[in-house]
Amino acid sequence: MISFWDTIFASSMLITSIIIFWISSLKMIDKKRILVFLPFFLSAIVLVFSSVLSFYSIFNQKIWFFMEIPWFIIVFWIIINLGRENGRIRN
Amino acid sequence: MKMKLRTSIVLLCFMLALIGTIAHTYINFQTTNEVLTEEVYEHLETTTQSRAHHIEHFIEEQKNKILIAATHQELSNEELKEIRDTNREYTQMCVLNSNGKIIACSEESQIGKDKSNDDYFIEGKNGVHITGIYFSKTLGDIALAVSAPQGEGNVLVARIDINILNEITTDRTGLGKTGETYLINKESLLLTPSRFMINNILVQEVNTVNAQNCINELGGNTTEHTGHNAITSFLDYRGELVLGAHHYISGIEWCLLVEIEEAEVLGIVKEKLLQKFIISVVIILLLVFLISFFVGGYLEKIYLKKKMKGNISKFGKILSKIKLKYFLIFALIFTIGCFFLITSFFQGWQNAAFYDDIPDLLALMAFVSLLFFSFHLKNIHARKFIFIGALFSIIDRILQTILEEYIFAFGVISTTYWIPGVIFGFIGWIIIFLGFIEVVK
Repeated sequence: MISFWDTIFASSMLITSIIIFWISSLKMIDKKRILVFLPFFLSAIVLVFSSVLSFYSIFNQKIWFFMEIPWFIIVFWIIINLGRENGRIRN
Repeated sequence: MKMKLRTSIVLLCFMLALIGTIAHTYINFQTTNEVLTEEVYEHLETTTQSRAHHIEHFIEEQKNKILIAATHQELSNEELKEIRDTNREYTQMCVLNSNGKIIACSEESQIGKDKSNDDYFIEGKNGVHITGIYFSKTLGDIALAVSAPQGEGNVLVARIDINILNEITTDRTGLGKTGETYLINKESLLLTPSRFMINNILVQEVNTVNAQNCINELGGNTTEHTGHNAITSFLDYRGELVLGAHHYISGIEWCLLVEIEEAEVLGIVKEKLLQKFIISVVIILLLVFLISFFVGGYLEKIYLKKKMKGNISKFGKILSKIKLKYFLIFALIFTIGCFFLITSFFQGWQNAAFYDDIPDLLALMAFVSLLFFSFHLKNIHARKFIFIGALFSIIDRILQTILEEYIFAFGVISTTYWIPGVIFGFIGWIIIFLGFIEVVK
């Protein structure tokens, strides 16, 4: 049975993913810039998967390794996007 | 300009307090940890020696008792019964003649049986002898016997109640919920019940580091530990990480093993220490934040009143001129530094929880890069949002790495410890997202 703190953990993850998913989807449609908001959209998907694993109390290291690795890619993708949008990427 | 002075003061104070408190608590944690670990080790060593002396005394007592009984030149069945009844350790007493046949016994049904091939007869002819724990076909149970020469070529044998020995080894005083003491013989077979294996006597083989160290010492004339420490950390017969000590019982080739789960003895202590460490850091940082926030605001007012000119965003300007590749190099160095610092609190970098740490450290590196990249942003609101969001995410990743290392070293802890970091991380991610929207606007 899922514990109280596991529920808090999973719920906070789910709430964050809903907020990100919702706003990034709207922005993608509204501004018609899918690739720019895609990393946030993907991060919401990763968060949804993570919260599902938490709700089922699955904390297997090997599964979580692949759930955490995308964050590195997503954040760097965001840095690249920020550089492009900012109009000046120095390298 | 108004926000910048206050923010600079708050950030400067916050960073100084963060470095100061972490450095202070780190030294404190290490010192306290060493003292407590030393105490735990001493306690375990004392318990081992005390139990071992208790067992040695018990065996010596049995030898002395049988020698006193053997001073009688002749012993009748009634006399043997009387001796048996006055000694709570004895379950049976018999006299064997020079051919190994029972000629008198407290259990008369045993008279006439041939025991010439039994160890206690063969060894008992030459002098007082205590057999190792063995399976008796006559009794159909585990037995322990002591024998000594008596009269003219006879051997006096007493069977000892094994439960009395078990009472000594199964006494859990001072051993907590997971501690245990048990005996093994030179073949590594379990001789007395262990906490987790009650019915495996003379069946279960114990091939742990502790058992091996003790067996290697058998036959030596010293109780000094050579080639290993008195207390060692190893995986027990269940595969659990335990702290263990050993003592060989002289004259009988038994090993007394004392083991207790490391998570119980050191885990609780370290969990409490870590709890205090986190609470004190959070309180200090909160206080510093509040004080610097108000002091910063006050100084800002004075600054504006006096219309002093100065380049207070100089640091930000310098950072905005640094190329991204240097930020990446710094982020990599910072991440590696964090890894070595955090693991040094626990089991060292060689025994780090690499599987858990690698994704978090990669994410940490990415967030540090993002934090520095925020200085390149033209939009001031986006810069603030992404800076604060990245800072929150960095805190989250550092906390996660600490907790993962802790779990790897001492076992699972409550999920409550994950919550503060998780909240920091998710809030940080949302703030980064809001900053990103500002840039794309």
